[in-house]
Amino acid sequence: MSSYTIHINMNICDFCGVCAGVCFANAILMKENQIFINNEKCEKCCWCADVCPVWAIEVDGKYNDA
Amino acid sequence: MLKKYDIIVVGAGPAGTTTARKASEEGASVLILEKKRDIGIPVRCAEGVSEQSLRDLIDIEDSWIAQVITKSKFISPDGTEIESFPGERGLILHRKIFDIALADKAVRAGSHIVTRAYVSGIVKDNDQVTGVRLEKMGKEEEIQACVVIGADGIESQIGRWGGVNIIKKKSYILPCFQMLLSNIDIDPECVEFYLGEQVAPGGYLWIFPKGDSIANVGLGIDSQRAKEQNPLNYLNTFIQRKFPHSVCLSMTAGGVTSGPSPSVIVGNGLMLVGDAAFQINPLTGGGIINSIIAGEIAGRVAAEAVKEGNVSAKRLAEYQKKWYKKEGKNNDRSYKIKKIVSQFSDADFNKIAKLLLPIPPDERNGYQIFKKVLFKYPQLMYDAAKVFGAK
Repeated sequence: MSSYTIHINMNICDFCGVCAGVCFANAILMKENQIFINNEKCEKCCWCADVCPVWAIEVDGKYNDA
Repeated sequence: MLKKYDIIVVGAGPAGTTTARKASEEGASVLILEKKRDIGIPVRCAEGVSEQSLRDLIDIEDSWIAQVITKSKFISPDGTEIESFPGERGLILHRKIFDIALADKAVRAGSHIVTRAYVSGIVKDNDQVTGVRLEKMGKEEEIQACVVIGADGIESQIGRWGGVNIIKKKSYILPCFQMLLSNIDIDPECVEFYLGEQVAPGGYLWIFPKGDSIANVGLGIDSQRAKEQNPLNYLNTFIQRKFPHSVCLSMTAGGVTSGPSPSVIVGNGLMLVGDAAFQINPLTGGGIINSIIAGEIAGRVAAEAVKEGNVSAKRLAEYQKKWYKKEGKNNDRSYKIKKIVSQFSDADFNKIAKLLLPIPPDERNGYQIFKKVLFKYPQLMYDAAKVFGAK
């Protein structure tokens, strides 16, 4: 389970922040045109990938495989 | 920028700037911090409001208005069109202009605003919030405040950092996508809503005109369904079918909250307003009016609490109570209706549309629709009783 890594595909991301809003682990931080996932804080719930309107969040290298 | 303010508001949308304006009017020193470079950009909103509701709150300026709306149309999954003339006008705003106008009002009332100001954390003394950590142009500093107000939108972090955890379920967030389309054939005075599994499962698709051949066209769908096909795909499918010659001038992804009122939106020295506090009508997805109403209450309560020297959660809860009485209650009722409507199948929507067709468009008000539908559709009576009889 902890082998998951989650990252945001910056070519697709629209910086809408919905992922940061749902992240209970406070693992997603967004600034003006930057967004970060802290994979150490991440609890691998993958909810961010579920709500991303453009499927920019990749779980373990696969699109939206949550 | 000073080192200490009475009130710091994080986020310069309508909720944040209204809160700040009200608090300034009540005599508090107020700082608004906006992480983006510009206020009002990007627009993440369908920009529609009821004219009367807005007029009750604020003097409307012509420059804010893109289009006046006099009609609305619902399109059921089988294409049945139900047009209505509610008698009440709607407005499609230019949010870019509107947000700046609200910010201007806050500044004229005495608030200070800093953009490109990223709040990276909350400063706390035990469980009392005492300020924020600010990153601006590569520099970090702490700014103190008696009350920190999170008006930081759907991506809100302030609440969680400050210890106010709003419970979210997956069904409470609708992923959305919107395009500003040009070269489309529409009735500019009519907003359209499309329902159905094929168009927008668990939500709806909207067309909000901003001129004769230009409109915000967007949709929100159920987050579980968005795992099968994302909102952008649904929107593209619709646009190809309905507006094949359109050109997209702007696109935005986003999310709309659609849940019941949170049980707690204040902490010790902390308040949440606007999208950050789920102050969106869960049925319509509308949040502009809610945000302004909440901001006015929050700003006044915060300023009074600072004056009294008591900014405990208990004191600030006056805001939450007053908000709930004013709008929160209505939102909860809408949420119950939304839960029922979201269980409707395409066949249910089609049946309801057929029932409404014989009612003349200018009589299609809530009461007539209610009477007609309930009479022919007893199951709804039962569901409706649960909604309206619950209180």
